[in-house]
Amino acid sequence: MIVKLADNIISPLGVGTRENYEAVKAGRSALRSYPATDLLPTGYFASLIDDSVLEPLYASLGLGQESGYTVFEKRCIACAAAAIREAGIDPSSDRAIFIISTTKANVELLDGHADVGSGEKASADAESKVSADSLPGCHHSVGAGCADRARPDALPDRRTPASAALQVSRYFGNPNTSLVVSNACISGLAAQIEAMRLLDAGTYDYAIVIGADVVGRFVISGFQSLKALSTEQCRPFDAARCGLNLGEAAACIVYASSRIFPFQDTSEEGHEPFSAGRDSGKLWTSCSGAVCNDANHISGPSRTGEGSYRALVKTLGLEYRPWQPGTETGQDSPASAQAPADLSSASASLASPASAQAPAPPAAASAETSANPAAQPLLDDIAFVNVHGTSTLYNDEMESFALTRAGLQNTPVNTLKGYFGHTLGAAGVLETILSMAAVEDGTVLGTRGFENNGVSNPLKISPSHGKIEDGRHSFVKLLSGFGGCNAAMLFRLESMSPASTSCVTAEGVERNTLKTSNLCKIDAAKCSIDFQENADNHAVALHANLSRLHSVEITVDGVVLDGNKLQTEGAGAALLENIYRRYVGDWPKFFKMDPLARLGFLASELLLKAEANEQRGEGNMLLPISGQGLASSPAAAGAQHDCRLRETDPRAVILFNSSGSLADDLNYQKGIDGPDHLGSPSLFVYTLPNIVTGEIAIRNKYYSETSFYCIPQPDEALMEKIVSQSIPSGQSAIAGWCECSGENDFYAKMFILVS
Amino acid sequence: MANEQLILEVKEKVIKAVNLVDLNPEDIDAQAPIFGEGLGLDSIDALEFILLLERDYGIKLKNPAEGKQIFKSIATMADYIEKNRTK
Repeated sequence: MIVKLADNIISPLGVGTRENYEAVKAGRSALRSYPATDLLPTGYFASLIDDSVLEPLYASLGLGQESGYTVFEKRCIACAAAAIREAGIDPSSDRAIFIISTTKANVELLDGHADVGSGEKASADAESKVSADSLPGCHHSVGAGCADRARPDALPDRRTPASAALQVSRYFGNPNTSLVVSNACISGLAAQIEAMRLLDAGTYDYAIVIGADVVGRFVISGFQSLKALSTEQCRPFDAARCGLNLGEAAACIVYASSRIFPFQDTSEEGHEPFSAGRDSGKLWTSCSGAVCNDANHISGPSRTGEGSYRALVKTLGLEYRPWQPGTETGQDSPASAQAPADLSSASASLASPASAQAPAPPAAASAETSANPAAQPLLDDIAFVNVHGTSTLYNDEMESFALTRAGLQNTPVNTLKGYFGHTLGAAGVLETILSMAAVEDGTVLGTRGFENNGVSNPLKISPSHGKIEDGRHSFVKLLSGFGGCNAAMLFRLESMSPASTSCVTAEGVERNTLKTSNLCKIDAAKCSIDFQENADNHAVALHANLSRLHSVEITVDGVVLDGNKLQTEGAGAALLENIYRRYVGDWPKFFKMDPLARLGFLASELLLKAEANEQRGEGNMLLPISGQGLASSPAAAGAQHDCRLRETDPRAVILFNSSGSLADDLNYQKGIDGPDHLGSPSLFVYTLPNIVTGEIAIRNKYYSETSFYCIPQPDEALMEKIVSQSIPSGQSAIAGWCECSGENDFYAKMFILVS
Repeated sequence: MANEQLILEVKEKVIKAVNLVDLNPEDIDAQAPIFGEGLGLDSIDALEFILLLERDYGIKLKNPAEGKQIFKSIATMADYIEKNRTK
């Protein structure tokens, strides 16, 4: 269980959690219309931060114009600084970890024009622009700490998410490798779930989770190319909804492990925490969350809410029930397989209108929900579900299925997109903080923009604020994103008596106990010693050892599978195509993938073939799919699939690199810098690095977790730690390093790992 | 009915736009449906076609939903281009 110590928000509605919550409570929104420009030929509707307003704040933190920090870094640092101060923790402790949730980090560094948003943004970014070096092996020693704070260290390529995150953690003198969670739009929840795992396992005592994205020309043009943007105020779940609005925010939550929670009285230092609730003896906690892929399409969600439903099932301890459609078969309608709904989209109408081909609503679900008796007390405590609710046709429809399948159709539901727009990497953190504030305020915030129900499974949703039913202290947060990923997390406001309190888990057992009597004002290092001595079994169980079942290494000129060099031809892009034709051959989507996805996909295919060979007792020599070494027919290649995992076997896909999708980012930027300023929609989708995990999930029908992290170097110990904490004992993962800095410059080292 | 030359050109552009690497223009029946079973394309590919119309022929679709009719087949696409192109 993790305990929230403090939080903070920077958004166009204000600085600080209180200011933002009060703005939302007053019904305000910063969404407005922005006109077309030469570089963005189509106007748009968005909620953007004016950084010039924040200049005094930046200056007070040594982040002024001359500091060399990028807009993204400044917002992250400024947001975290206040939260860390309020939490009263030492961010330079090696018991603290920075986890940054972002989809595009410093992408604005690619934009020579950068005229979108405030003028300040352009100049600051231009200053800190760096030349393209090879990808980094960063040293991340603490350095000079505070004294040298004003100037960012000369990290290698700041365009890589891993470097951007190090900039932030180094500002605070933190010695640990900061993690970037780059899981598209679910990053904000995935980052909090990762924080929970690291703290529960005792790896760290504190986690500073920061969510942020800068919405500039890159992101706006990308969503425009997907025809996903509404030209007016978004209308989540409404019959007239026609797309999303983008928004900017930075949000930060500081968590502590429940074991070492320090009951510091911050009042004597003159701080007045608004939302932490420590003064009132109430604390926000979380002990349950899940990420599940719906294995449907890289940009279109499952029509039946499969992944989101599964995330709810895991988070709430429900009994899983397969989709039982009236007239359909399978988990997704055949129609969706051929013409998948676009998550984003007005363009969905190209495929088919939602109303025409949507699966029949799970009408019976209200009578027989998937609640299991053990989960009932937990369900009865849920005040509301704060959903993703982007206002795209398919996202909202999908969520209505997931919630109804989970038996939550009578629980109040809201989305905050009408106040802030879709703030991408910030969304999960921002919306969690505001939902916490709302529970403390006894309020179900209204869904701004909603009027008339526009989804197949009507939900308990209202445009105006409501009152929380007495005695409810929990809420569920949902997110979904490109790459087919979905996340759910359960938060609870605990009453903290000096003696102890407990957290009811999905299994209905007491998972942890806050021994507040042991808590005192002690430094983090001392806490960790106490903790090590008192570590309970639960933490140990999460630290299961991993075994490597199979390994593959792909370099630009060859492949080694389980220690044997594979027969291949060519190098670089040609090598990847040769591997596909020689050993795979039956998945034409391969040719639509970007180089990063091709690399990760092929590595996973080779691992799975090695696993299948072993299961058939055919040893570890992988033979080409035909005698000639080239695919003779998809059928021949498909025969090798018989030994893959069954669909029901849970297998996670957890990949890492340093640069995110930088190679694609540069290509996409080239497109929008071209004479027509037009970006390719499919390329834009691939500028989310987690798409490769989605491709692997789709190919193999993996409905378990898919995650993508950016770290500076292929640190195998760190990667294995993260993977071992992510998968329950007995389960397996395809995991490892998957780096691509260009069509002909890549490196993958991936494994099948079993816990 | 658009002329053969434009149909061939559209086929080539479609193949390139959505990476149908193993297909040649003569493999595509201009009258056959592009989506669904046909070429195994999906909604992102449809968005690529919208981009193609705009970039190569100066046609800006006001409503993306129009694409459903326009992208029925190579022939309907070529017809639409012939009637609406500005470059």
